[in-house]
Amino acid sequence: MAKKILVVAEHRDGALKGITKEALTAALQVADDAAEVSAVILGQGVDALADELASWAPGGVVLFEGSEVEQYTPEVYVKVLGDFIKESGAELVLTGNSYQAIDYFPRLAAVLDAPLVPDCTAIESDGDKLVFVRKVMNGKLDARCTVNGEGPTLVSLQQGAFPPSGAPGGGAVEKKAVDAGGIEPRKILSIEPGETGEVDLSEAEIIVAGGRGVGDEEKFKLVFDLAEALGGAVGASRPPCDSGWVESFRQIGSSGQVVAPKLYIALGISGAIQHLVGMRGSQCIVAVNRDPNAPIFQEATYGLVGDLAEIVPALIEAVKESQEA
Amino acid sequence: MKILCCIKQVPEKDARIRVASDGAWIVEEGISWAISECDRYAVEAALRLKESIGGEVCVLSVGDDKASKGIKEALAMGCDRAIHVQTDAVARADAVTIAKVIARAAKDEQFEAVFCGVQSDDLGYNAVAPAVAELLGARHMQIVLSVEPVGESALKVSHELDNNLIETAEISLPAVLGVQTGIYDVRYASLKGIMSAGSKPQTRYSLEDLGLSEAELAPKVTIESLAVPERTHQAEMIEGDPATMAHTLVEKLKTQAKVL
Ligand SMILES: Cc1cc2nc3c(=O)[nH]c(=O)nc-3n(C[C@H](O)[C@H](O)[C@H](O)COP(=O)(O)OP(=O)(O)OC[C@H]3O[C@@H](n4cnc5c(N)ncnc54)[C@H](O)[C@@H]3O)c2cc1C
Repeated sequence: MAKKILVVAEHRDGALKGITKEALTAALQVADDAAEVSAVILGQGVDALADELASWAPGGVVLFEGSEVEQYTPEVYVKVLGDFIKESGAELVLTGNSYQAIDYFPRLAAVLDAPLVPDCTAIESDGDKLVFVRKVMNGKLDARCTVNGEGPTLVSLQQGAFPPSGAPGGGAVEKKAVDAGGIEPRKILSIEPGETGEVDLSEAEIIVAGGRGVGDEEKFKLVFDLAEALGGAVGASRPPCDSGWVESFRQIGSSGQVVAPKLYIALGISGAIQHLVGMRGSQCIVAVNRDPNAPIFQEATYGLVGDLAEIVPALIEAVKESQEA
Repeated sequence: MKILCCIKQVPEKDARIRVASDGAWIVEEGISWAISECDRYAVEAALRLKESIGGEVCVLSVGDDKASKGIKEALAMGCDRAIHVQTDAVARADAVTIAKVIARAAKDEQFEAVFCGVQSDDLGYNAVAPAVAELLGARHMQIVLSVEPVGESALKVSHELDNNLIETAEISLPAVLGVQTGIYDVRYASLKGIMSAGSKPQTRYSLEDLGLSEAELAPKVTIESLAVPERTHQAEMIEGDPATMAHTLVEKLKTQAKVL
């Protein structure tokens, strides 16, 4: 389907990221010939990671080494990767859609004047064209997209969309020095963990989470009441935290806590990817939503379509009855 | 400081979205439109920056008549003037093409700080702000959580990195920031604001006025079709009136899923 494919690797705390292996898996799936899948990594003292990467990239790995790339900055990443992609002749450049990628990948696309497909969930072929699938309209619809023109296409892949296969083995590592061309990166003042708050939801066996569909701060009491009846903890999607209905440490998702309770009840939550990555690992998921097409129903074990203002009080009743029985 | 904020009109969150007969876009009639959620925070961030160090805030929107409503609202919230690029041509375009239109409309004005929302509620690229920055030769930060001026020529900005890490950096101006939701309480338009919005200056451009060539505007990514996502997994749906649903669910959680 595609000829030359380059995967841009990402690493943190001395390990390759899971999404990098997902991107390599995607590359190997769409490549005409696995030998054309190569990877690039930037860093200082990451030889071992480059070797690991090479076992996934039969076409070889280029390691850009230097103090300028010890820490990520978009300025240097865009310069180094922009020059390298032009020189490499890659047709397709894949990376995982991390927050880091959200920061620099679009800028790289602008430098290269290249088509950009962000947060892609599937790659299919239609004759000799590649078709990229991504969510639009807040996850309500899938858009099937094609790209036009010559040159490289930049695609960032949604986390979890391409479960990693095994490494095929094979590539070699080539080291290159970073030429940041006099670019002055931003002045980083600090990098610190975000707010964690007093409740560690990752320990809870039952979590009842409310979303924007709950309506307002007062109605959010329903979420607390159901959690109390079940002896569970209260979580939330981002909007209730943004609006101050609940404390921000209750946020579940890519910018919040990652949880995997036995039972997760999602009330008025649509199922955006940033929320799903925080709760997908739950053993049993119940979704209550008035929109039968809400994406959350694809993740749920049990689905209830209707107004949560009616369903939740009934649930509280039923739980209490069953406890008395 | 010369400050710009960029906004987009999108279908309201609970709008009933239907695919149009061409299969490649949505039915635009009969639904309500609103300023995309993150963009409201971009307007708020722009106004707060102006309030802290002075200057003016211009609001920019690219779009057809629907965009006029968003512009009016932003002016009522306190923006001083507006740029409206009147076109429907890039509504479905890729992020770099949209960024070209924004950058061209903004370029001559030499804005020092440009605020965008991190992600729009329709196309959801998460990508326009960094692309605009590149085209304006400005610095950028994406997923922005806080902004503070440092003198006249720099900003101290915090943004989100992976693994729940927050990076704070000082960036020199000009800069383009992609603002995340929730970082402020967004103001409502005051009555006075609403009254004065109509008389605030608006510059209107067509794509021709901006002198963008056809080649520059040719979309790099085309949406071929839109569809309700195919279900790879479907929840077991529990039917009935609320009381019946509740009892059935509790029973299943106990005996089938064994989680209660
Ligand atoms: C960089 C970035 C990071 C993010 N991080 C996170 C994160 O960590 N966690 C997170 O959750 N989000 C995060 N988000 C936001 C995310 O993209 C979504 O916007 C958010 O998850 C949506 O929350 P929601 O489902 O509650 O609201 P919506 O998507 O608005 O959904 C509300 C749902 O409620 C339903 N509903 C409405 N009324 C009723 C009713 N009466 N009864 C039943 N159902 C009803 C609607 O049908 C709808 O499905 C992030 C976004 C970005 C850009």
